[in-house]
This record gives sequence, C-alpha cells and structure tokens, in this order.
Amino acid sequence: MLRYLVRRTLFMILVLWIVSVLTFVIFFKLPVRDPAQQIAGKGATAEVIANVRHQLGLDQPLLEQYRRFAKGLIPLPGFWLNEQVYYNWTNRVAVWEEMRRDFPYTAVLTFGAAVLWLAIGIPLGIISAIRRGSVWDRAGMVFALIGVSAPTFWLGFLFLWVFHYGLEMFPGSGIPPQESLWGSVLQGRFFLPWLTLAITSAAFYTRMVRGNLLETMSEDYIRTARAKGLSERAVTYRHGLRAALTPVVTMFGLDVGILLGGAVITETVFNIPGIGSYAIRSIFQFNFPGTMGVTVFAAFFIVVANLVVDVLYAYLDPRVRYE
Amino acid sequence: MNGYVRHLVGALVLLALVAAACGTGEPAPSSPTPTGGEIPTGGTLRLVALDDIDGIGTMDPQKSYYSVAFEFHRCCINRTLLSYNGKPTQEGGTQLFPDLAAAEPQVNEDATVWTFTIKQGIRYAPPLDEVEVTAQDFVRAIERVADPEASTGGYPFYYSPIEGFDDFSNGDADSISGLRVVDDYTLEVTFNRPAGEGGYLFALPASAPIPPNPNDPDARLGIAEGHTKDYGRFQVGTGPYMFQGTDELDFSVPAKEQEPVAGYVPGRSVVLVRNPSWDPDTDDLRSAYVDEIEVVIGGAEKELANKVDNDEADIAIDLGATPEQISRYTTDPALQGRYFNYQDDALAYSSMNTLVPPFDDVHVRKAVQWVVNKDALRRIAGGPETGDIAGHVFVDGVIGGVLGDYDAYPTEGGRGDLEKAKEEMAQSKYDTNGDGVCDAPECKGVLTVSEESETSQKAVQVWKDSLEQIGITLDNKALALGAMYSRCQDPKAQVGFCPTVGWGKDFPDGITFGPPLFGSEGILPGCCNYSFNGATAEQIKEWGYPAGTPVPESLDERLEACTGLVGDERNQCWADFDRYQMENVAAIVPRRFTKSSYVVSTRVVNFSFDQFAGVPALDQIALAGGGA
Repeated sequence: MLRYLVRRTLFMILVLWIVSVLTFVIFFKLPVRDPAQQIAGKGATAEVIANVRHQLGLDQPLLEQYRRFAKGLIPLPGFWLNEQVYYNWTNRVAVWEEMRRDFPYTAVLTFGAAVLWLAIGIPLGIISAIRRGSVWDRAGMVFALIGVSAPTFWLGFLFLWVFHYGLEMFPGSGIPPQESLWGSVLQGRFFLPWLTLAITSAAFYTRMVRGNLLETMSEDYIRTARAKGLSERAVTYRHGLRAALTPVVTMFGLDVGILLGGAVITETVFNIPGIGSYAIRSIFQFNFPGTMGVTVFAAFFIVVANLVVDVLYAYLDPRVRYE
Repeated sequence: MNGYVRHLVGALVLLALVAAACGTGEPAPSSPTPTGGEIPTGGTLRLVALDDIDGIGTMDPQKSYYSVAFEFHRCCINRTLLSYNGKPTQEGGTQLFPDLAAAEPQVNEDATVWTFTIKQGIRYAPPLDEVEVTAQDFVRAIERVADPEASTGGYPFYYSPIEGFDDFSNGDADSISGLRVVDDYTLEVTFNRPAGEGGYLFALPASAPIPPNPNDPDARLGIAEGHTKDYGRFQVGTGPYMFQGTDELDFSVPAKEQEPVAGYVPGRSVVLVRNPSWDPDTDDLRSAYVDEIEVVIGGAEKELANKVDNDEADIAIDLGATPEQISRYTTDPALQGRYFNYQDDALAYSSMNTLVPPFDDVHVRKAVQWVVNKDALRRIAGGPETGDIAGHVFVDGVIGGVLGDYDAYPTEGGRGDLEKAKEEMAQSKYDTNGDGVCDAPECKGVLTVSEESETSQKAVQVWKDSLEQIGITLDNKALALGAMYSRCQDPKAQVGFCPTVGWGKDFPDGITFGPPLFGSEGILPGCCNYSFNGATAEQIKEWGYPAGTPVPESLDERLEACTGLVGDERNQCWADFDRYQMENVAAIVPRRFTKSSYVVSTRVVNFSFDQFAGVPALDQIALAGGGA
C-alpha cells in the first residue's frame, strides 16, 4: 500500500506539472494581446510598455519565465504562490491572499451542495430500484432526466425567479459587503446555490444508484443471501446497497474535488465570491498569476480526490487490493 | 490619450459607458424629485457592478483610468484643484469649477504658466485629520504620476507637457522643474508649450493631493511611499466619503506591515462611509446626500438588472440599462421616472486605413461616407435610445457644441445617398469605366476586422450591403473586442477596414479626440489612430506595405495649432479641424454619438448624470425618505 501511495503521489506531481506547463503555454503562446501592453494602457509609450514587461518578467527567456512561476507552485513556505511573482497583474493583490479569501465560500458551497445531492440522489435511486416500475420509479427517473438535462445557469435563474422574486422564501444573489461568510449561511444565502448545484448531481446519483442496485440485486451472492433466509430488507441494505454504492464514492470524490476548484457557473449566477468567480475574473483580465494559481489549485483538488477515492475503494470493496 | 482604455473594461457596453459632455440642446431627462422640495439625506446607496469599480485597476488615483473609477474619485474620495459639478452638460456638467482651489487659476497670456491658489483649512480624512492640504501635496501627486512604476496603466502622457516632467520621469532630474511651490497655498505650473488643457489636468483624479506622512516627513511620496502597487487601498483623500476603515490605517509602521482598508476588497465589494473631515461649507460641488455607498461586485448581467428592477439594488453602476429594460421602461407608463438616457460623449465609428487600397484614394473614402446607411446601423444597435446619428467626429462635449448638427455628408434620415457615393467613386482611380462602381481587384475582399458580438456582426452585414453598391466587398474577420482593437491598431496587420470601433473622451476637451485619432502620436505604440494619418515613408516601408504606397497627409501641424489655445478659440480650432478632416481626409465614418441609459430603483430621488465621468453622479443622488 505504501508503495502504491508513493507511486500515486509521484504521479500526482507529474499531472500537476503538466497542468502548469499547459496553462503557461496556452497563456503565453496563444496570446490574444500583449499582457504588458494591456497593463501599461494603450496610451503608454514603448518605454513604459518595456518597463512593465520587465516588471512582470516577460522580457526573460520563456524557460526562465516558466521557472519563476513553477517555483511558486512548490508547496513550501516561501515558495508557494510567493508574492514576488504571484500577484494579481491587474489589482496587484497577492494571489494567495485572494484565493485564501475566496476559498471558504467555494468550500461552503461545495459541501453544502454535496450533503444535499447525497440526501436527494441516494434515497431516490434506492426507491426507484426497489420499486422498479412503480410510480416512484417513474417519478424518480423523470426527476433524473430533468436534472441531467437542465443547464446549471438556467436552474439558477429559475430558482431565483421562483423562490426569491416569486415566493420570497430565500435571499437572492450576492453577499452584502459587510456580511461574514457564516452570517450569509445563517441568512440562507447559500440555499438556492446549494439546490442549483445539487439538482444536477442528484439526478446523476439517482440514475447511478438505481442502475447499480438493480445490477447488484441480480448477482449470485444476493441470491445466496436470499436462499439463506435473510429478510429482503437485510439483503437489500446490507448486501446489495454496499456494493451498489461503491462506485458512487468514486463519483462523489471526484465531484467534490472538481467543485472545490470552483463552481464557476453557480458562483457567477449567485454572485458568490468563490474560487470559480476568481478564475473567471483572472482569465478575462489577463491575470496570468491568478490563472495559474487557481488552475493548479483546482487540479490539486481533483488529483487528491482521485487518490483518496482510490484508497477508500480498497476499504469498501474487499476485491480491490493495491500493491 | 485614451478614452478607449478607460472604457475597454466595460467590454460590449463600452460605448454605453464612456465619459461625458455634449450640448445638442436635448432636454435632460426628468429626475424624480421628492415632493415638498427638501431633498432627503441619509441612507445607504446600494450599487451593483459587473466588474470592479476600477475595472482592471486598483482605485489608485494615479492609475485609475476608467469611467466608474473617475466617478468614485470625483464624487466621493478625492477632491482636486478644479472639478465638475456632477451634472449633465445642460446643467454645466462639462465646466470646470474651483474645488480645492480658492478661485479660478491665473493663466498667463500664452497659457504656459498656470497659477493655482489653494483653499486654506482643508484637512484630510482620518487618521490624517490634523494634516492640512498644501501645495506640496499636489507636487507629490504629479511626481507619482511621473513615476513609471506607480502610474502604470494610467495617463501620464497628459502631464508630459509640464516642464521637466519627462526628465524627472526618465530619472534625469531630481524634481519636476515646471512645478513650483510658491508658498503653502500657491502652486505654479509651467508648461513647455502653450497648454490650453492645463485646467483639465488638475481636475483628473491623478492630480488629487497626496498627504505627507506625519510619521515620516522625509518620505518623498508621503503616505504613498512604499505603496507603488497598492496605494488605492491606503489612500487618504479629502472628499465627502472615504473607504470604510480608512481611519484605522496605521502609517507609523513600514508600508509592508500596514493593513489595507476594509472597505475596498478589489473585485468583490466597496463600502464608503462619510469622511468626518469633509466640510460642506468648503465644497460647492458635492451634495453628498446619502450616508453610505455600498457596491457588490460581480454576478450575471441579467441578475443585476433584476435586482434594480426589484428594488434590491439602486443602480447597476457599470452596466446601465439592458436592452430588455430599455424596451420595457420606455414603453410602460408605470415605470416612468426610473429610466434615464444621456449622451455620454462617445462616438461609434468606422475607420478606413489610408495605406490600404482602395482606401488610399480619398474619393473612395468619400464614397464610403456617402453610401453608408447610418440609420440601419443605429437600429441594429438598439434604436434612438443608443444615440444620435453622427455627422462629424468630435463630440459636442469636447468642443462646446460648436459644430451643432454639422454633417459633412448629409443624407435623408442618415440612410445614405447612393447617387452621391457613385459620383465620388467615379472620380477614383479604382473605377476605370467611371460608372460609380469600383471595378478594380483592390475593391474585392478588403481585409476587415470587426467585433464578434451578434450586434456587431449584423452591423457588418449592413456595411457589406452598403459597400457592395459601390463595388467594394469585405473579407470580414470577427474577433473578440480586445483582439479587434489590437489588430486595427497594428499597422503591420494591414487591416483595411475596422467597422465597429468606438472612442470616448477622458475630459471635456478636443485634445482627447484629435491627437489620438488623427495624430502620428496615435500610431502604435500610441493609440488609437487606425487610419494611420501621419505615418512616414520609412514607417510604411517598415510595416511591409508595397513600394509606391502613397504617404497619407499628416495632420499633426493642424492639431498642434489647437493645443496652445484656450476657451472659445480652442473649441473653434478643434471644430475647424474636424470639418477639415471630414471634408478632406474622410478616413473616419462617424456613425453615432452614443447615449447611456440607466434604470434606478424606486428609492432613488434627485438622480443626476455626471457628464465628466459619464456615469450617475453618486454625490447628487438621494434616497426617498433618507433611505428609511
């Protein structure tokens, strides 16, 4: 297991390195416009533009530029997103300061939504499976179809329109400047974003749990369990569900990992100042340090989530062993 | 000189946001005024914004170059020697008034020496409420403008005519020789050429005074010392408002250890509270009715509009009214009084490259001026609410309305005149048989670069239809806004036609239109002369144009003739220049003098439009019942 973990960790580092190289190459080799000129302003003289280029280190050889940024990705004090290199090219604020400020919003959004989609998706999937063909099953599948088909931004606006502007049940978009994160949670400002994010995922989970459970319930060992005289409830929940939910763990881990890197659309629709909003701003404002920081940060969560999921798998499924 | 940069940030709403002035005599929209006459005070003005209030900036007065930021500096945080009254043109919104200056500046005969007398007893916001504004504070500000690192992204080029400014900026001098502190309350500014625009320079946020640091009196840049990149969150001003937490700034510790104000989180939120040092008796320009101004930044355009519709926000400050809102608010009587529409002193235009055939022939350019259907272009943009059909380039606000309705190529309803277009084309070398239709291969597939939005592409189609009538076809490349400007700006790209560009003023003077659009200084790396008048033979060769490409007429001398004049003479000079270029150069097709529209909540009373910044005047707006 230890060897496996070491190998996976090295692989993680390789993936993150590739992500950083790709981000760098996309930004610097496919430029829509010169970042130095944009920051200097269109009226700037050639000297001013050259000065900005120098300040940003853009006058150095490409490899040296990459080295400066890559150094800032080493997760050690003094290296990690160091302020000398990783500052927002537009507002000059340290990237790490901005990400540290924004990440809690994304985390609250992600975990709140995750609780909700598990609470909706798993029970619905189970009911659909054990009452196959019933009204419950059909209703569950209609929900799944709608949830999977509905674009997130559309759901977000729909919920705002119905629950905020229409029924006035929940607060609308945006966080008032003087309200803390937890104050916002208590005010219910996250409920509609949670619901928006959760509906799509819950729909997937419903279909997945239903499919897995139906498949599992036709396995030989389930027949054996029934033959041994176990009650249908015990067969379903103790033997069937455990196997059926194992793939859900994989999906859940990845979903959470992806969302921790920023729920871009939901954050935009509900104006939640999280990592997703920051990523969008960085890209549109040609803020390369911010773009690089947030991309690697998001990729980090995804690869870590992958690792955690794989390790968990070994515990959940006795057939899986890592060497 | 660059309205473009300041407004680029607003992306597709660029032309709806730009700065100020005009004077077509159109009545100002009626503001809802409170019954009983007394304007209520108090409450919190709740704004929403798509982007940061400084666009891609930092609210650093020496860097801010964006219309919304200009407004926040003017209305609220920073007073300057001269300033504006936060009103539309019809109410004097483009006129300069003394602000921190005790009176109008004294100007010598040739406008090379400007002397400002400073009001006594003006103090900064806390924690510097014991520090009085003196002449040295303005020197400090201009020295910071001259520091290339500190003013990156700003507009130091406007201050270049101050004697010794460039030397100081280049590190060749220890001080700016053109700035002389006569005494604590008198500042003398000497320019190296007649500078009729001198007053405007001292009304821009970059000239806002920087206080000394009482804990470090030797610090050359005062409290800005050590804040090259982030002074915006450490500034202390003299306006009626300050960022929340300004009073907690601690200048006794080194700059790196200072904590920024809590009231401005770039890209996220702004909270302005009253500045207790501000004395309304010393300020004739700002009313400052509300107690606080809050801005929530970010979100989706549609949702921000919803918030204003539903009274959850008072104004979408950088968004204006959406097309859907314009249509609804202009037709529903129940919504009257919540919709405002003002000329914003910007021009939507199309530009021909005088180095690229067939536009190197003035007759072709004039034929293009005659044939275009400006009315159709305006309808595509959203109709009359988006602006008036333009017949010349300089918006009224920068020339005091001298040109009025002058149109060098007047056509019925702005729909074009094919007959006159053909008459011009027939005189061109590209029409060999003289039938008024270009028959040369140069007219086929002219490289055209346009903005990629649906609206712009519909406009390109109108252009194609118009030009086809005189034998010109376009090879159109649709690009993102920034990429389009970069391509049009790059002479080496040899783009023939840029149909969807725009321009707005930085301050109400012709110098913000003439040199950048027509002068050689507007050619890359300057901005934004896309027709390349003023290019030299050497440059044309270097850019890769074929041998024999005619050198276009330079308009530099004509422009320079205006820069030294002041007052009416100056306005007339710019207007004459505009007539000349329209009738003899004709490389720019003015399409529309644009207008900005705003929707406000039912709480807003006494709405006003700041013609200088081109956005709602936040110091003039009050809330019904004091926001209760």
